[in-house]
Amino acid sequence: MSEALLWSQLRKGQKAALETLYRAHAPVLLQYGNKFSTDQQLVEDCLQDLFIDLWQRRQQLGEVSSVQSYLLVAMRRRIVRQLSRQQKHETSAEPAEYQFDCEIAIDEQIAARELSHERNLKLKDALEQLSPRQKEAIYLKYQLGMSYEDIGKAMDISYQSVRNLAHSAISRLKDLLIQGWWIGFWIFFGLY
Amino acid sequence: MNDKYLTYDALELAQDDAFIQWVKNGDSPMPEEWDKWLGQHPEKREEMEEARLIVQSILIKEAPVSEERISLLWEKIDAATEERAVRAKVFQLRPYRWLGYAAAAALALLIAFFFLRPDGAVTIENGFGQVAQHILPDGSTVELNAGTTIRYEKATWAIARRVSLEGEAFFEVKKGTPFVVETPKGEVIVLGTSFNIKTFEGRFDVQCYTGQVQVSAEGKRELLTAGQMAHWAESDWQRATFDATNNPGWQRGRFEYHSTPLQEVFAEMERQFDIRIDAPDSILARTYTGSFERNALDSALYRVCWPMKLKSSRSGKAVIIQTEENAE
Repeated sequence: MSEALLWSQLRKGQKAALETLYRAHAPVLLQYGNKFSTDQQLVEDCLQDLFIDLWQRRQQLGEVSSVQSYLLVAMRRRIVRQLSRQQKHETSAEPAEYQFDCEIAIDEQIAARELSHERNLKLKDALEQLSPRQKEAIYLKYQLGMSYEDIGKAMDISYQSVRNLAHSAISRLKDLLIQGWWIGFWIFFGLY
Repeated sequence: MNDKYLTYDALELAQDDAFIQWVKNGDSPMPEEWDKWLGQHPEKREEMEEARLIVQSILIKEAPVSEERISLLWEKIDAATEERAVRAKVFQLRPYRWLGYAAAAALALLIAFFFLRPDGAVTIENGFGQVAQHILPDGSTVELNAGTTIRYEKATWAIARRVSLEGEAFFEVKKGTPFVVETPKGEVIVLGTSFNIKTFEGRFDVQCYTGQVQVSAEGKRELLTAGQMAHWAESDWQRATFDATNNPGWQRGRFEYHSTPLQEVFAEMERQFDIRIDAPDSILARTYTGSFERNALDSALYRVCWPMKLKSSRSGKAVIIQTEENAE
């Protein structure tokens, strides 16, 4: 059954649609949530409240272009709100920069085929240096297949900012990954 | 196929949603068209191979989520979104141990305080030194801690289930229309559930034992499910979790504290033992961690005072608390 159909059944008050949507999206939403906090309870509470709220507001729900994007955006908002609330109570300081604990790596087979050992190390280094926001943008785009428009909505930044975040990360990846005449040059002078 | 791709380099292609889908799971909206397009534009092959390499190489490590966890969470969501018209759950009153000795006294006092005014307003005022139980017109039950008052309109109960509360009470609500508890600081709205509300000493604490509860104060709302509690402080809600397997301590005659100002502890003792405690402000501000039980006043005084290096002296219903040095 298509997501759009499930969504409209949910709006009409069919409980089975809520369960189907939950079972289809809960694993991804939990995995996404865990990137922000290692507090299992907090992440599960957010997911639970999200679906309870979805049911209670079903009559006010509008059409959505992508159910997954809608749920990811809603999940992110809840978690960020809970985390900033916790930080506010624990310390009087400004909320810290958020974490996005996600390990981005290079497919080992491709690395072995395309890259020298030295370039592979540099690539790993470059990936580790990605900021939390860059990691999140790449995660949403390449793992979950979200469009830049939706990523912008989720992260509450402009379309252009998302593009810039991802673009600088991907172009660095490309430079290290793609062999060209300048390969010797890079090895000699190092990365940037 | 969109001709915009002719102007794309590998980098742009690697960020195109349709392209990513095609590379990652071959279910792009136009899989054959990519092949066809490549046939028409062989000069783009190199760019495309590069882009494909970039997309394929990105690997995100993901911990699997167990099926069991998903199902457990669903059970909670399912219970919380259960349609109220479907079935009305009848809560059985549990026979509490204190009931035996307290029932007779409580009943007598309840009747004494039970004012059925002509307009249908019912006030239940529970005195100090006891716990009282009351059954609301729809069969929902409320158990009142010592020194607690509730009010409701009997005449309009069928239309609006509304109770106002001052003090502390444990509610077991039958399913039906929204059930609202008004407190001096805010409201608690539920459908059918059990929960504890504490409003003593300016507090507004709500603990949800089963089902779900919505609390609101100053326009700020929180939804609580079983095992969650909310504490209203400095115009905002603080959430926490607690063990919902046992009923609140006061129902079992046990009072536990964690870094709680003595002022609150003594106020609870005054209500439970129907006494009057006098202590200097410097003592009242100190915080206490420990517990006391309702069965014996002297042992309760000892359990609170001894770890705090305090001395109590009692004559009848008046208790004076001092520091050990001052008492000597």
